[in-house]
Amino acid sequence: MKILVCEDDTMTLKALEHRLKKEGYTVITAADGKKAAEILSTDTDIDLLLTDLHMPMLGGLELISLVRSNFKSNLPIIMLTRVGLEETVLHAFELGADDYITKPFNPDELALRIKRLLIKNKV
Amino acid sequence: MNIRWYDLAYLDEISGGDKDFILDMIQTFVSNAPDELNDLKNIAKNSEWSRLGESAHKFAPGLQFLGLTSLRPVINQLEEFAFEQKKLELIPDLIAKLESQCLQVIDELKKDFNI
Amino acid sequence: MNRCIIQGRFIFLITIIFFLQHYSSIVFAQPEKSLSEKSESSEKRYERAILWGERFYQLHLNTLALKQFDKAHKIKPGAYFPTYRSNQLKIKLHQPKNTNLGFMVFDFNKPGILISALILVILFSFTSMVTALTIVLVNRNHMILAEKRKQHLREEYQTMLVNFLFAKDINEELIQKIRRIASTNINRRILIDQMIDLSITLTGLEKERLKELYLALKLDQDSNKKALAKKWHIKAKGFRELAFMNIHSANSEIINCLSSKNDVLRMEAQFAMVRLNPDNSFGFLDFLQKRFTLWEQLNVYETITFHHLELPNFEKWLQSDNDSVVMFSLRMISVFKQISAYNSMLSLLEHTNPEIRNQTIQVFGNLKIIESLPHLKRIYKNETYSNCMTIVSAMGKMPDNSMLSFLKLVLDKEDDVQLQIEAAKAINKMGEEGSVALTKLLNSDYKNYQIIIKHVLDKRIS
Repeated sequence: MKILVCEDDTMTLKALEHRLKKEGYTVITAADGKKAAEILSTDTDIDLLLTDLHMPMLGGLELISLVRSNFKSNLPIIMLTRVGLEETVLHAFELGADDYITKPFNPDELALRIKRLLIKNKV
Repeated sequence: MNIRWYDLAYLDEISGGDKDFILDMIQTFVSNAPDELNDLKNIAKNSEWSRLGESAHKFAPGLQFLGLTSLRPVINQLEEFAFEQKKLELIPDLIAKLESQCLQVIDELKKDFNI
Repeated sequence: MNRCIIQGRFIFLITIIFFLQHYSSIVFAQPEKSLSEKSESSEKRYERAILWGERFYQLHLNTLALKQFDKAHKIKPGAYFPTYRSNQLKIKLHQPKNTNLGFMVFDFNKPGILISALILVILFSFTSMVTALTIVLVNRNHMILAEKRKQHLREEYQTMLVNFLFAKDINEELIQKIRRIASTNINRRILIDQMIDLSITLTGLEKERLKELYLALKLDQDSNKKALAKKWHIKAKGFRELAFMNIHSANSEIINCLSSKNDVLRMEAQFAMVRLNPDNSFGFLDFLQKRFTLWEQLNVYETITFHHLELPNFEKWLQSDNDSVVMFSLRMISVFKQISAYNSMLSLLEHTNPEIRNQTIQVFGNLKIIESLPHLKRIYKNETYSNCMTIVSAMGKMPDNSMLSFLKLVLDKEDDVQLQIEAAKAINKMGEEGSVALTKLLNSDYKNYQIIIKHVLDKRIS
């Protein structure tokens, strides 16, 4: 299973990559939404998108909207957000996100949510 | 007993005990943090408040990974004052506090991990 | 001139905005490329183009952003992101949501044609308002000056005319001056007005001289022209001028207007007929179809009294089919005491219109025609309440003992207090016999007359 992780903070990106690789996923990273869009335009095997909401060059919300309209409309999307941004989270859900997780993330919780979404999507 | 500002419990949890990963993360912090702190100071000097808020927001995750919970309120205040452009006279002090603690942590990390 | 200043300022404002727009483009423009930059790797140029494009995109400088993304696309044709942004920007730039005035672009998120139309409406409204205000102010000043000038001329002409009319010898110089005045339209109008005003107060030789002057200056042609005009207010003025100057040239037109639907025109025609036909001043009453209003009646009455016109025998209109003419005639008979119309008036006591009967009864009372008393008594029981009141009141004006028993009957039989009071008043005016009768009634136990009779006898109440 291939997961695209889109996060502008280096340490968070490394942490996510490490954890997800440990769970057995193939991880592709992107430091901003633009790069994520580039990857999605060429690689059609991505099974899940894990994206931060606040990024330069194509923010998380725009990326979600782009994925739903231009790429895979049923690609599972999990948002990474911090506490206190409930409105943005709701907006992301309106645009088509499937789930969200707050930072600092609980690695077990993250793994569980990803697994659940992937199974649901497969079905 | 040495008292340390940093706490690697969270990194340990994420990495699942992977020491190489933890070291990599520490090295990332040690190499990036000084530049990010200088950026903060320069942006504050130029009074670019919304950029300052964004930079402070970017700086926060690194502190979380190293368990620097005491600096969490400092970063929060910095973000709040910068975005809302209020109590701007307190910002230099906040940045100074942040810098002094981070430099102390970097020193500790360098000593402890021979970086 | 004001319009020119406003337009000039508008053009200046637009020029300033244009230069500001151009200046802001320079500020945000990319710095000039040096030789070293040209040799940068394509990756860095691509990243730079993406960076600037995104900056412009965030600032809604869509045209500049599109240029940068197109540049990035040329450097890396396969890259998705610049193509994505370019498509977004092309849609934005081609959608009619912006209002592009050539040098300015506004984004109101509404159809461009609507925004342009609104801007045009606003500009048009503002310009119209300023123009209208200017015109109003200029006109107002003009009118004030014109009125001042007219007033000055009026005084000057009046003095001139009085000097002419009351001069012992013929003053050729003055005559020539008046002729010169009469040669211009505006001055002619003021001169005519002054001559008409004078004619109201003049009599005898001076009036004749005024008329001669009027005709010599051919001012009667002006009045005739007005009398034949289509507009009623000009026509009315013409009638008035001809009437005052006793000029008969437009009599047929005046007769035509005697039954005009326009109240003012009809009234002026009537007035003119009264003045211009001294032998048959009120001939118009013969064929007046429309209602002869109270205002018209007053106007004619005023003409008669003010100008001492010869009075006709109003009796001949008592049989008119027009009730308002009958009413007028009755009033005139009463005012001018034409008692000779008594027999004709008697027949009016049987008229179908109760108002006419009422007026007839009043005239009998006013003229104190005692011969009418038995007839009034006869018609009493079939009359309306108002007419009964008038009958009793008329009896009071011409007290006669023969009516004492009738009035006592009224006092006794009528339930209406007002009628009883009127009857008691009429009895009271009958001299000693009346007083005795009232005193008896006062002491009577039969009916409670005390209040009514005390009220009538109270000297404080006139």
